[in-house]
Amino acid sequence: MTIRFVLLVNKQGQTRLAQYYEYLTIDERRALEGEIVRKCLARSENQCSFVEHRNYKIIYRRYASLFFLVGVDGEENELAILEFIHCVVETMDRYFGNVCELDIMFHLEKAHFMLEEMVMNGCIVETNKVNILAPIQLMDKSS
Amino acid sequence: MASSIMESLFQRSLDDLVKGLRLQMIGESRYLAKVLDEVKKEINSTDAATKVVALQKLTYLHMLQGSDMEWASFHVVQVMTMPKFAYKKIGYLAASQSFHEETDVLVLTTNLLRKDMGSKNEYETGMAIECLSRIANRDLASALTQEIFTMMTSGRTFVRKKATLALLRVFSKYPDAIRVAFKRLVEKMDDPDPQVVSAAVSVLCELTLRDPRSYLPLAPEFYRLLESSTSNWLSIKLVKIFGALTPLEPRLGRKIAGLLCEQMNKTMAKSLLFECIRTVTLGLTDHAGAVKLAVEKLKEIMAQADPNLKYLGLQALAALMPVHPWAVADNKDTIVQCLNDGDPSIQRQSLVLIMGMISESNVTETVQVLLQYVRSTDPIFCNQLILSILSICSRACYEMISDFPWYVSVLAQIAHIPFCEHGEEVGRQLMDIALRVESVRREVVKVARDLLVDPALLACVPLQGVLCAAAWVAGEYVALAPLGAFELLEALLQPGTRLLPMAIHAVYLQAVLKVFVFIATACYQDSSLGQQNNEHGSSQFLGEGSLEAAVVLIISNVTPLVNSVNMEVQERACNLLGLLQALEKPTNSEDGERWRDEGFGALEALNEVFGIELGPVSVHAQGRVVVPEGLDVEDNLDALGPIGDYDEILLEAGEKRPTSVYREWDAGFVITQQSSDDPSLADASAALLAQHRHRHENYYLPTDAVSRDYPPPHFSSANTPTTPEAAASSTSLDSSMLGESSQLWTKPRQTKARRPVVVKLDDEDDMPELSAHAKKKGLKDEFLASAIRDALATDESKQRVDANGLESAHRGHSSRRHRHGQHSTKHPENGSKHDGSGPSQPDKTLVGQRIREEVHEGKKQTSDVSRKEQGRNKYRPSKHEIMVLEDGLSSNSENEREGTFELKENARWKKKQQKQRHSHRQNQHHARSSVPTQADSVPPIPDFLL
Repeated sequence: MTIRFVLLVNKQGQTRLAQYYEYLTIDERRALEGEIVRKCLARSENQCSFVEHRNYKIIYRRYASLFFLVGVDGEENELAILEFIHCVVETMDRYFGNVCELDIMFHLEKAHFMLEEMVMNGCIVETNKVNILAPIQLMDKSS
Repeated sequence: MASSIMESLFQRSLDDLVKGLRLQMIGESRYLAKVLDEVKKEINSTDAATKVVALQKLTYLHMLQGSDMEWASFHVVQVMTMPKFAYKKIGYLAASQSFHEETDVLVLTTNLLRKDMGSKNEYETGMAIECLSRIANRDLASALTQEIFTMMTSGRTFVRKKATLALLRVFSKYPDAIRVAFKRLVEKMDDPDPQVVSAAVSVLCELTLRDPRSYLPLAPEFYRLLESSTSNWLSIKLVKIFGALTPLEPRLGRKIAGLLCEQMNKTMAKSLLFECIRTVTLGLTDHAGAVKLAVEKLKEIMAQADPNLKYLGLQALAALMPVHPWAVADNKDTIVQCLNDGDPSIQRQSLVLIMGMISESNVTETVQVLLQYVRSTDPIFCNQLILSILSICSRACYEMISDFPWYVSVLAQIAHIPFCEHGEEVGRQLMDIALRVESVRREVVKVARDLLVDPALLACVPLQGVLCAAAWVAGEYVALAPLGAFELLEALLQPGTRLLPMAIHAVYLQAVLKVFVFIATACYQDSSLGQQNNEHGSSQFLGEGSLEAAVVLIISNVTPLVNSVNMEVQERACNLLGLLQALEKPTNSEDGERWRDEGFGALEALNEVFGIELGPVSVHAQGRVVVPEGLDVEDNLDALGPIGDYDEILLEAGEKRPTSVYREWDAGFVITQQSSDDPSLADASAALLAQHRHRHENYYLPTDAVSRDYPPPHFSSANTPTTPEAAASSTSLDSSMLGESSQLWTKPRQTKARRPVVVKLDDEDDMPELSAHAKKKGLKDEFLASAIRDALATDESKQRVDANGLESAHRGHSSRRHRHGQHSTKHPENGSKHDGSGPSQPDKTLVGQRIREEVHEGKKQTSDVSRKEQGRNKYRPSKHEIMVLEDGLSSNSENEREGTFELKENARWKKKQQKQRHSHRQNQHHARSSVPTQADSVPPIPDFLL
C-alpha cells in the first residue's frame, strides 16, 4: 500500500508538479501522465474520484483550477488518500496563503520539500502542518 | 571575483525562467534550448550562488519539461556538498529527482550522505536520510545500513522517524540489513513518540503485505497497538496488516473480530470504516457477527449520494460475493440502479456484481434487464455489457442456459445493436449452438435468415462475423427451413455481398451451393414424383419454375466472381458454375432422360454429402492423432532454409502465376477442365514442386507411400501454403471446423430433464498451462520475504532452544508477557547471534556495539561460517540433523545449477537461509512434536493466539 506518484495538473492538462516514488524514465512518465490526465480530466464533478489505470489506482481531487492526482497500488485506502490530498492542499495554503497555480510554478521546489516531508518511500509520514513546514521555514531563514 | 559578481548579477533567476516560459515570444522549444545553453555555461561557474541557481533551473526544467539532466550529475553532487543549508537542499532535491540506481556518481555520495547524516542540524540529517531512501542502490544501502541503524535510536524524533522509514528501501535493496535492523524496527513499535510508532508500522505494513506469513508472530504487538491507537492513520495501517494476516490464521480472526466490530461502531472516519470492512471481507468471512455488521454499514454507506462511497461500497460487496452472496442479493436494487450511474467506474463495478450473481434461475430476467441498459448507454459500456452477457451465458458450454430459443433470440437482438463490436463472438456462438444443440437449430436458422436478409447489416463491419456464421448456418441447415430456401438464395446473392471481406464472401458462396443443391434436389424429386402421382411433391413450397429462376440468379450473380482476386472465392464460384453447366438440360429430349438420371444422381450425391451431420471439433483433436512410428518431428529442423528461399523460387516463376491464367476464363469456358490441363502451367508447378522436394527432401513423406499422381500445388497470390496438404486445408471454414472423424469424440451430455441436449466434448475445459503460470507470481519479492522470514525464524528457533533448555514453566510465563519492554523475547532477536544473550534484555548500546562488530566481521569473512558455528554452539545437532543440513545445502546447489537464482550472492544467502530453516524445523520438532509439517517455513504461532 504505497503511493507511487503525486501529480499536480492544471485545467489545461499541463503538469505543474510531478513526484514519483519509483523510477520511471522521462518518456514513461510523459506517456503515463498523458494517459492519466486525459482520463481524469474528462470526468465530471458527480463521478467518483477513483480511476483505475494500468496497474495503478488514481485518486484525484479538484481544487479550483488545479487537479491533485495520486497514483497508488491496489491495496491503498482510497479515502485515506483523499484526506492526504486535502492535507497537502491545507499545508500549501498555510505556506503560500490560498495556494494557486502560480505559487506552485514559482516555488516548485518548496512544494517538493513539503511533499518530501509528508511522504517517504511512498508512505505517509507526516500530516502535521507545523512539522511539515519547519524545515522549509528554516531554509527560508538561512537564505 | 569580479566576473562571478557579474555572472550572478546578470544571471536569469528561476523566477525569470518561469516568467519567460509563460510569456515566451520565440516558441517554447527555442526558449528551452536557449535556457539550457545558459545553464550549461552557468553550472560550471566557480561562484556557488550562480551554480546553485543554474542547478535549480535545470532541476525545474527536468521536473516539468522533461529535460535530460544526466550530464549534470557531477554538478549535483558538488552542490550537495555545499555547506549552506539552502544550497544543500537544492542539491539534494536535484539528486532525488534525477538519480537512479544506475547513476554512476552514486558511489561519490556515500561519504557525503554519511557525513550529512551525522550533522548537528536534524534537518540536514533528515534530508540525507530522505535522499538515501530515494536513490539507494545495493551498495549505498549496504554502506549506510549502520548509520541508519544508529539513527533509529537518535534522541531526536524527527531523525528517528525518518531513519525508521528509510529501512523500507534499505531492506528491499540490501536484504542482509534485516539481520541488523529488524529487531530494532520491531522495538520502534514501542517508541514513546507516536510518529515513530506510525513510521515503524508503515514499514511493517509494507513488508507484511509482501509476505504476510512471516509476520504472524508479530500479531500480538499489532493487536496491542490497535487497541490503544488514537490516530486513524495508524489504525488504518494496523487494520490493513490484519487483513493480510487473518486469512492465514483462523484463530487470529476470532481474536480480532470483536476489536474490529468495536472500531466499526466507534469510528467516525469513513476511511477507517472501509479499512475494517475490507479486512472483514478478506479474512473474517466466517465470523457471522462481523460480516453482518459490515454489510449493515455498507448498506448505510451505499444509500448516500456520494459517488466515492458508492464505488467503494460496490467494491466491498464484490469482495464479499464469493462467500456471502446474500450480502449482494440484499443490495440488489441499489446495484441495478448503479448500472445507470453517470460514472463508468461505478457502472463497471455494478456490472461485475450482477454478473457474479447470475445463476440458472435468474439468467433470463437479468439478461433482459441488461439488454435494456445496453440500448440506453454509451457505446463503451454498451460493449462491456454485451461482452459480459456473451461470456457469462456461454460459460462451460452454456451450462446456465436451459431455454435455448430464448438465448438465440438474445443473440439476434445483440447482433442488431448498432454499437455492437462483438460480432465475431455472436457469430461463433450462433454457429456453436447450431452445432451442439439439435433441438434449437430451427430457431438458429430462422435468426440466420433474418440476419442475411437485412441489407443494412452488410455494410456494418463489426457485424460481418455474425453474417459469416449466419451464412454458414443457413446453408448447412437449409433443410430445416425449406419454405424460405429461394429467398435465402436471393439474400446470399444480393449485390451488397460485394462489400464483404473475401473470406466471408467465400462462405456465402459455399452456402449458395448448399442451398442450390437443396432446391434442385427438391425440384427433381418433385418432378419425378409428379410423373407418378400428381398430388404431393416435396417442392410444393417452392414455386413453379423456381429451379430455373435459381439457376438464372446464380449465373448472373456468380459469374463476375470468377475473376475475383481471392483464390477461395474464385474457386468456389467456378465450382458452382461448373455444376450448373453440368446440370444444364440438353436440347433433344432423348438425351433428356439420361441427363435427368445422371443429373439427379449427382445432386443426390451432393445432397447426401451435405446432409452428413457435423459435430464440434475438440481443441485437442490434433493431439490425439497418433504419431507414426519412426517420425521424429524435431529432427533436422535447422536444415530447413528460411521461407524467403521459397519465395524466391516463386518469384522466378512469377509471370506464370496460375492466378493470371484463371482470370482469362469466362463463364462460357469449359470449367470442368483442370488447371493441370494447361501444359505450361503444369510444367512450371511440377518443376517448382520438384525443386522444393529436392531442397527439403527430409520433410517429404516417401513418394510411394503417398498417392502417385500428386496433384500440382495451387499457389494463391495472397498466402502461400508450403505444402499441397496445407493448400487443401486452407481457409475454408467448412473444412477446418468440420471433419467427420471429430464425431468420434462427441458425447451427448446428460443434463436435467428440461434442458435440451448440448453436445459437449469430454476434454473441452482442460487448461493445462494455467498452474505453471500461477506459480511464477511474486518471484521478485521472494528474496526479501524469505530473508525476513529467516530473521524471524532465527529468533523463534532460538527461543525454542531456550524453551527447550529451560523448564516448561518458562513458556507459560512468557505467554503472559505482552507488555512494553518485555516483548523482546518473543520477537526477532538480533542478539541471537550471541551466545547466552538469552531472554533477558541486554544493554542496548552493548547490542549495538556487538552488532557493529558483527557487521564488520561479516564483511571480512562469510558470515555463513560464523552462523554455522553459532548453530553448533547453541545445541548439538544429532547425526540425523546434520544430514538434513547437508541435504539442504546440496539441494540448494542443484537449484543453482539449474539457474533458478540470479546472483551468486543470492545463492549464498539462500544457502544460509535454507540451513537455518532446516535447523529451525528441527528445533520446532524438539519443542513440540505435534506441530504440523506445514510449519516448516512458517514461524510458529505466538501463544497469544492459542
